[in-house]
Amino acid sequence: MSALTPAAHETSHAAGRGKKGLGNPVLGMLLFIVSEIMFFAGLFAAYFNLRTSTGTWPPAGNGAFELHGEILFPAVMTSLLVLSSVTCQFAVWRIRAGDRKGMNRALLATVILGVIFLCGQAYDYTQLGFGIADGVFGSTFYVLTGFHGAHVLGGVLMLSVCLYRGGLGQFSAEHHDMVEATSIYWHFVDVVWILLFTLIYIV
Amino acid sequence: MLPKRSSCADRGGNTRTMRRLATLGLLAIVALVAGACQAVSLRSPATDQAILISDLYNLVFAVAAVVFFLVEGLIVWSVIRYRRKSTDRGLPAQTHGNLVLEIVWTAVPMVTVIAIFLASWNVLNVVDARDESVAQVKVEVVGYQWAWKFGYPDAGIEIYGTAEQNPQLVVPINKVVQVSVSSQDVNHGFYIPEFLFQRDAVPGRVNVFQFTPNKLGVFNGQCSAFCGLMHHAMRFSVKVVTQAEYDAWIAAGGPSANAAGVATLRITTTPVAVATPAIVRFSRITM
Amino acid sequence: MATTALRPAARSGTGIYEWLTTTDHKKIGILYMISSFVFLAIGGLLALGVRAELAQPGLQFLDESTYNQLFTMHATIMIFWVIIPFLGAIGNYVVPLQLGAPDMAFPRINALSFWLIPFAGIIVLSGFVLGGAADAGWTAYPPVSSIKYSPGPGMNLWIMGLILIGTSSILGAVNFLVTIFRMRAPGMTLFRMPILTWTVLVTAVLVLMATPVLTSALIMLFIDRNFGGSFFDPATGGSAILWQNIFWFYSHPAVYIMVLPAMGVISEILPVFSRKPLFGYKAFVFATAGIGALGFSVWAHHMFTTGGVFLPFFSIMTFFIAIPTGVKMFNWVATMWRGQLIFSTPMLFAIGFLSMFLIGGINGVFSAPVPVDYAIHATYWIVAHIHYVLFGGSFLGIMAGLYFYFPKMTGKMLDERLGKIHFVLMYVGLNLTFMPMHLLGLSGMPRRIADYSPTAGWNDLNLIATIGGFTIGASLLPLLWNIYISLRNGKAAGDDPWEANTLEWATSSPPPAWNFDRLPAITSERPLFDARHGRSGKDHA
Repeated sequence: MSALTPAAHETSHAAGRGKKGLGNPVLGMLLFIVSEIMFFAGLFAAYFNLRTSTGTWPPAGNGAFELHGEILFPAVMTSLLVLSSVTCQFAVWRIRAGDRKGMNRALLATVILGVIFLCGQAYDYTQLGFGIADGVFGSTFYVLTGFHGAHVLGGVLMLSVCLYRGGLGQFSAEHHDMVEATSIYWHFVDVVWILLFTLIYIV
Repeated sequence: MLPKRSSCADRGGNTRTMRRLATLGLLAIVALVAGACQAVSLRSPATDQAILISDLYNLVFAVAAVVFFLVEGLIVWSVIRYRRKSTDRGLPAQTHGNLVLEIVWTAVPMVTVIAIFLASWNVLNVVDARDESVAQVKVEVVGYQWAWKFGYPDAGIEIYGTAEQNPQLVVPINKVVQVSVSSQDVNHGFYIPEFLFQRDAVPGRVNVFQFTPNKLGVFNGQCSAFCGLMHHAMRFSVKVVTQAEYDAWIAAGGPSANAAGVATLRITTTPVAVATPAIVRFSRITM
Repeated sequence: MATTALRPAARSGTGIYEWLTTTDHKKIGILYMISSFVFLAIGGLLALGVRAELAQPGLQFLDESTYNQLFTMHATIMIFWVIIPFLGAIGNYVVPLQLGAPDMAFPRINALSFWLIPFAGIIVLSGFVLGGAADAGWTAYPPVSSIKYSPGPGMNLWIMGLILIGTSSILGAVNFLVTIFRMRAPGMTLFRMPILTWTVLVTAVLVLMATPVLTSALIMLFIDRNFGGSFFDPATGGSAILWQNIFWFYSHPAVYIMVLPAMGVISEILPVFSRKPLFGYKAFVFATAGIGALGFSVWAHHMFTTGGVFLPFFSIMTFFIAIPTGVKMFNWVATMWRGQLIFSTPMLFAIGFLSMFLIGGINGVFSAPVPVDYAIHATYWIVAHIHYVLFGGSFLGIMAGLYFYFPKMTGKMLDERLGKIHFVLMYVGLNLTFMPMHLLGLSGMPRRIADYSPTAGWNDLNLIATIGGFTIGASLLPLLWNIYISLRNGKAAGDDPWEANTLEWATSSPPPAWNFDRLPAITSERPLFDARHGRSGKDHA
């Protein structure tokens, strides 16, 4: 049999608690965002592939595809989303400083801005003169913006949970991993939108 | 304690285990060698390009065989030589690695694969050459569920295969034949084993390749890319004839109407695949 | 299932409800294993259906439609519901133990990852009773997989099931990575981690970066099929090749996802049964990472014959990926070299892995030189290749791991004699099945055909392959019998029946819910070896 002579390490040390660095939820979120980046990379790869192989972009024959002229409304929406990223980060800074009220206010502002963005996107969809079945332009447009919208919705739900738990006073300067993780996710969603906005309305 | 290695054969209880292991090992070796030795080569090549591919395959196979026998030999040797013996006392030497050895067995495969890559690149440049100006016969191949259309645009001949009658492409020997292959529905694969070659028929693109047949005869081909229900029935053949026979065949307008029912059409309407399982079953019975 | 026998010590936690709601990584690991066995039976029967049909020319048992469903679902089930979850089972059970951790980082997400698997499996399989399962091949190339050419419900169910199981994999990967990065025992630096944990780490990175790309492709296909999208439809401006690029960007790394943890299992077993350390531990780690990195740059070697890819780049990268694999092969052989080999069943399967995976590596190199690929692509050569990799490699590795870790999981030893019968039958069966496929491929038999010409000269080889297939099926019977009788009255295993090296053997068999009462000092990658032989991190003379 084994001549195992265990040295005196209690297992509580092995639990990974009390370690410095990122908390498990924050690291988990960062890794999950890697997978999200690859998901959008797949969609963007399809977009670039189809855009280059189509030749003229937007494809000729449908005036509704000319989105460059209608940049004003999406630009306003974009600035609201960017603003929401600022308020979200503000919430993180407040709770790091132990200011629960400040965090809740900033989170509330973020949720409201996120909801406005979603409503704006829904309104925008009703105004467009083309659908998802209208060739590669329609397909790529709706899939990219639609899945981004779904991620905004997911982010709004996570922020709402943070807000709810913040209202119950469950976060403190030491324990607020969820707020940190959610804010990282929200910034990621924001960055994806800036890329999308640039591709669809400017380039 | 120094690890001792017995130089003589085991005695007693270990002999049985050893014999069992030896039988097992032998069985494995026989199975492997028997299999490996049979898998010597591809079909004998029937085009100039295929000869190069065949040579390249043989080169890769030779290297592969060396690697195979070297490594399997080392495994078998270890299994026989280094089994634990009743005389073993203590641990064997706890070797953690050997930098020189590890560099060698990284560098040697590296050099080997680069060499094979360069050889394959040379062959690829010939096999994939697509110089329009040297093409002497041009044919168009269109795949559709589940048959082929062969067209000779210069002669205005179009041959539509059906599920009952596999179409036949007729080409002259020792002439550069240029094939443009495409599909009108799903992916198909234009594959002739004796040409050691296939090229996919992809809807929305035209793939062009050339070959130079150097053997007379009929070579069977078959769709290699899964294309739906009757994928297995999507066969065709290539008949390589002399230039004189080819000229006569072209002059006669392709396959004569009564030649086993091959449809020869001079219209360019899109063919509709009419193959149904029932029809194919029927053809199988009459084959 | 045999839950009562699995955990005789922990009577409080053996009820069905406990198993359905558990978040214990060990129970979840066992659940993964049970689910994998169930799907193995399904996938195996599908394969036997295919082999039975191909035994002779002509259609004897199936029509084309059923045949196409069978081979499609065989591959799908075996890849996504058998091999990956089997490795997930071993990873789930062993990795936290090897790290000296009490559980995974996110135990509830771990449970979710598992339960998505049977759920998703029921979705893809439900096609069989809802009017036809997916039948476009597991690669589902459009346009064959489009709504026009595959109108049944099977394809939609297939897409949904695959998205779900992909989600399960991604969540699992995040879980493994956080566990490995954050929950190692004191003293366990990255380069003191057991090699299985290293391979799981690299595999998790591959899953994290490749699987979402498949998800994106599946979503685009779903939109094409159901909402009139035109991503992959050339008729409306889409590109059929685009699918192949995105699909293989996932599915080539997927091969490494399926084989790296099996390599890890082998790398645990060979040193234990050779009584030597793994030769070239660091080289092995770098080779694993190298395979992972190169794995993302070779996907288009599946598409050489499409005429739509840049050939030299993907050709040379495919050659290069053979090098780290070769390094590993030499490391394994050198591990056995001058050892004291003990031929217990785990070791037999490990050696089986070496000898068979070698073939799977060599016959894969034939696809790297593009002109040779033109000759063998989409033939039975490729079928032989993938089965030598996934069966001769991954599956034998899984079986080695099963025999190796069964005592830890249950506290009971498996029967050695039945294990050896299982090994011999499976080893012979797999060579009988897949070796003739090389010859079929060389003589031009395309894969995925339900029928072949009786005059093509393929009859005998196909018959041999079918006999081999049924031999493989039969080889699983001694295994199941072995598990059954060993659970009932197997020999007690003790903490460390194999004189192994890593932390999972430092606790009881089966371990308590919290895994460890105390840990040995960790000063090398073999803490138990050091403890047993009284030397810490130093070589023996």
